[in-house]
Amino acid sequence: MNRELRQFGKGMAFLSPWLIGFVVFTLLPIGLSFYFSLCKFDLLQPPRFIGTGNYVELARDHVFWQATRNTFYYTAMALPAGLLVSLGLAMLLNVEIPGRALWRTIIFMPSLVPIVASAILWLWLLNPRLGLINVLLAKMHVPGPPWLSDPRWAMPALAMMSLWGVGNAVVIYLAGLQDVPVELYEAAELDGAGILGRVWHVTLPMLSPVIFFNLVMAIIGALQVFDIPYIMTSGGPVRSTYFLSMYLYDNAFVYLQMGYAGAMAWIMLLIVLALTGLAFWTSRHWVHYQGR
Amino acid sequence: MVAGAAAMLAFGPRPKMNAPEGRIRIQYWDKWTGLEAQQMKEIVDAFNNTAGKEKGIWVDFVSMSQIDRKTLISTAAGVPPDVAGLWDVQVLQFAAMGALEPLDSYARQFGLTRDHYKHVFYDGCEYHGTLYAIPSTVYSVALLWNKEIFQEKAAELRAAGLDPDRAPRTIAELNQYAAVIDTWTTRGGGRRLARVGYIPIQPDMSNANNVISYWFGAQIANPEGTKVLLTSPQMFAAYNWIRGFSERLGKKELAEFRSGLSSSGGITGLFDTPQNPFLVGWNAMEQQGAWAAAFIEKLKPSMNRWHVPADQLQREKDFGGVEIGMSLDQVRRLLGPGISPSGGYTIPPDVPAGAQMFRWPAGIKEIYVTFVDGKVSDKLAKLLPAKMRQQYCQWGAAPFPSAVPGLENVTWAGMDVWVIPSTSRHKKEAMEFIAFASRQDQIEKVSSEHCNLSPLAVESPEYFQNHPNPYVDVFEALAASPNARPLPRLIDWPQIADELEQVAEHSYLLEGTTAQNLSAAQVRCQKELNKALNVPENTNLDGKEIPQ
Repeated sequence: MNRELRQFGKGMAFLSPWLIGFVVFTLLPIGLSFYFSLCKFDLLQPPRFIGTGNYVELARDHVFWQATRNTFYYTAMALPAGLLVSLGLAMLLNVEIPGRALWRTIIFMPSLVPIVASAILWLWLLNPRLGLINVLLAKMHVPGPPWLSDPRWAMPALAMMSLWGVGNAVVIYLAGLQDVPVELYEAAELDGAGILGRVWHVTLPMLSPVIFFNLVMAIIGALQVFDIPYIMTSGGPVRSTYFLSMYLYDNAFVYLQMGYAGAMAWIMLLIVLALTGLAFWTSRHWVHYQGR
Repeated sequence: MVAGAAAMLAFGPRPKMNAPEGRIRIQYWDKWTGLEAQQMKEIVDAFNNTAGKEKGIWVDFVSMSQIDRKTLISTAAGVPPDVAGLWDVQVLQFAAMGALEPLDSYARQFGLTRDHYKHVFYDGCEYHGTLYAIPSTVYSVALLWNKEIFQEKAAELRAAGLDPDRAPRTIAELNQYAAVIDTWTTRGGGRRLARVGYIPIQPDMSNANNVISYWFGAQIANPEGTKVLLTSPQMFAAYNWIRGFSERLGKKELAEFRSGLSSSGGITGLFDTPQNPFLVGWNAMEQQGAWAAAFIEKLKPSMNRWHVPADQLQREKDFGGVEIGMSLDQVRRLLGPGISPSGGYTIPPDVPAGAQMFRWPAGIKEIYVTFVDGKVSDKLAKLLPAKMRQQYCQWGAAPFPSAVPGLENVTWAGMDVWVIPSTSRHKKEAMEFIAFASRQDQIEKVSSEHCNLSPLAVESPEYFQNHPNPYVDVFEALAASPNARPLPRLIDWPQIADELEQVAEHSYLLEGTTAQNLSAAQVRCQKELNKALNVPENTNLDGKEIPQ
């Protein structure tokens, strides 16, 4: 027993740098943020406990609901588009084509560009008077829309822009594609499967754990989207690109309502948890692991 | 790892200790970066070498972004700077939270009284009658107009009964000038706006945009800051006016044009780029602050040198080629014959005896070269006095017109401020530094360098002489006007401003009626204000329920 205790103590001692950091810088702030979400708190005055007041207030706050709708709308567009485009690109880049390494590099490179630089670049691309996109559209006699200043176009423009960074997901898919056993393709071919049949019956099932991983990461990323709309639209026009994370930020650091922002953070967490949980729950029907 | 961390703490790098022994060190944080920070640093250095030395104080200057948030968080943590340079919008917000030290007694002690300042700035630093900040560099906004475009459209303007040689003086006139100047083009089979005379709510001007109703005589809040007043006829007139631009020019066409004016959805603009809409002529008129002159000089200096004779323009460029040690003949080959002292100017007293000084006119500047023993010993290119430079400006500045007859020289008077956080440990020393930086010579120096205005009630003649903005007199007169107004006296102004931004956007997009949009904003803003003031929800301060 003494030996076990000693070993436990040694183990804890080695763990302690991480453990202390985790408790002090992660667990405690998480706990405190929940407590503050039950308080009126502006950073300087001591927090005043108001129970579920902030949550009740949020339920009646139309900007909160608008931001929530916008977040879901963006997720509904950017998430499937990102998954399909990255998967499609990965499959194309997995085929033996001339200059394959170069194509892979080109697809991956945008994800190395810092977010702020990407946002500024896209601001210029989408500028309706000077931007390359509308200039090209005009050459084809198609009038380009005022992308970021029309409430109907601003969100699709942001979703379109999100595809710029699919390089990371493409690399993960490519790694997954290398793991698909060649024998399965050969067997499928012998069974008379064409290209689509092989993709549907071999590639997608074998790649499903990777798809699932990318899906979960994409859900979390899309629901927390902040930097790109913050730089590109500041939530406008008429709050059509105002996301939950931006409203949270404004409440915390512009309006200085830390308690209210805390309540929003917890609701965001619950939404992310619920959707991730849903993804896990459905995964048993479509995710196939090798050897099971 | 723990041992390593402990060793780093014990023996690791320390901040550079520049302060001489025995001085009290105070921390000064400010938002300025780059050249502006450097210019402020010169004042800090001047303090450290003079008054600071005498009184045993040393100021450490730190330039940083997001100064407001960092100041607040550090104040809450009990380790704030001793002096922080914030914006006016934070004064009420932070004062209401108890984050700022009251400064009345300190300010009195150093003679920084209300009469020492233009009243609008001093008043803007008060909350419930207590002074919480000291104005640093300040600004007012005026109408900028492009004289060249007005000349191009002179015939049409005259035909409409308008004078192309001056700026509009009323909102009705502004609308007329704008309608004449608006220019359409065809592209891709469609009709597009190529240039507008004027459109309100421009990117990069969010605070001025949100107080556009000032020019319609509106009060956004009551003087006590307890009631939001968004449904007055004046507010209605202001936002209906914005709506009128979309109705006249077409919602889609105007949205496309406005979108092109900014590099984002309308907030961040092209102001500090070569595509600045006023500089490239997409806007013939716009509302801007005194700082615009610095951007004109940086991005399109030709607008400050309109009709300057070609030889003088060339001379300004050639001035860079004059080097110490050159002979008079060499300089003359470069700059032309020049004017000798007998040409009628007085040699400054600091020129050494026996030296010769020659002068060359160079458009908006005058070049002075001093020769000792026939060789160049000094050279200087000095701006003409601001007022004289106006004749060379392709642009003009005038008071932004008001919609209310008799209501003249209306402006929004904004400012940067110095504050002392409530948990600062060296308040008296901090105030010593603020008082030094507020001295007329120092504040005018930094205001000019930042191309902003002086907050002081009285300016020196040199200030007007050397200010980089040729129209500094217009902006200063506006700031001193009784109709100059600070931001609304609301402790949650950032939230109210966001709501007003939505009303303006809805007006442009012709969504809802102006009355509906303002009424909805009124309900939400009063509710938010009540929350900030800890007043029962859904009631006005008089206890009446807010209509839903």
